[in-house]
Amino acid sequence: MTKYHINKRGEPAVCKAKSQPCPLGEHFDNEADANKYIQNKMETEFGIISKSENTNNLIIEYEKQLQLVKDGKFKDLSHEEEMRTRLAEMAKMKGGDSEEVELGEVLSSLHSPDSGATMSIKSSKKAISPTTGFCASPYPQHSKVFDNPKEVTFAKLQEFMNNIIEIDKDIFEEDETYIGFWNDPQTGKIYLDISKRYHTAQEARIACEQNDQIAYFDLQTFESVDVDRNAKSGQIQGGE
Amino acid sequence: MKKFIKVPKDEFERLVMCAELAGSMSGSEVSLDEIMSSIEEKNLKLTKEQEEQLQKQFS
Repeated sequence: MTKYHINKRGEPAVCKAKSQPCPLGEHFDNEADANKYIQNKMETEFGIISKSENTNNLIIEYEKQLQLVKDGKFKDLSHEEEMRTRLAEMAKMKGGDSEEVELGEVLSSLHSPDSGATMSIKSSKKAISPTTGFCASPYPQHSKVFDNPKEVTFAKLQEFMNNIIEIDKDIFEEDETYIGFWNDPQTGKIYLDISKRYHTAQEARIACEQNDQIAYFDLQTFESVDVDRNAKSGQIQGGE
Repeated sequence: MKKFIKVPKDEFERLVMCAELAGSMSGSEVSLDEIMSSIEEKNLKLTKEQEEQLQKQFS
């Protein structure tokens, strides 16, 4: 396994020592941990380093980690989940885990199947949207499909919400519960579900396995991560 | 791409969010009458601020 140490120039570097133990002191599993060690050392020996320097380092490390995850070269499932979770932790350090957005902005990714153009969404109403972590739906019984955007009426949305509350009275009281929606631009169908946000990829994957879900959504890479393509719920199923 | 938003805990806010979502996604704005009908059905008592908010947003 690749290990990092701090070289004689004070920088993180891959340890290539053939004879053990390597004389360059402490070793780390990855470059990010080595950088963190340097920062901590500088703080204790030379005083607090500037906030902007910390932020810049975090941004750089985040981009590196993001690229590693996007490259997808994972040793195994455990490694993949560790990498995704580390990225989520870094994202949270970078910018918090939720943001207030305009509904119009959130809905603007829905496309009309006729033209492929983005729907013009005018709502300036604010909503809280999760920005880090992993979303999966542990409630396959609360999914709904609309054949096209015009069917998403006030009455039907209310019916959707009321049906959920009838079965799970306190579901919307839970902190990490969200309504998830996406559309199939080829058919124009709109899918709604009730999702939970998990802070680790492993938790999201287990939630999918336990609830017959096809995939969870990685909020850092904006992609669905397949858990079981043979599952019956998730991206496709929903019912009137 | 999938999107996620927090569903408000408060029933009034949830109702307003449904109206906004429906209006935005269907392309047909939800009328104040429709909303007030729903409020009556749910037996919700509105504050003055909430009434003003609805008037401003949906009339």
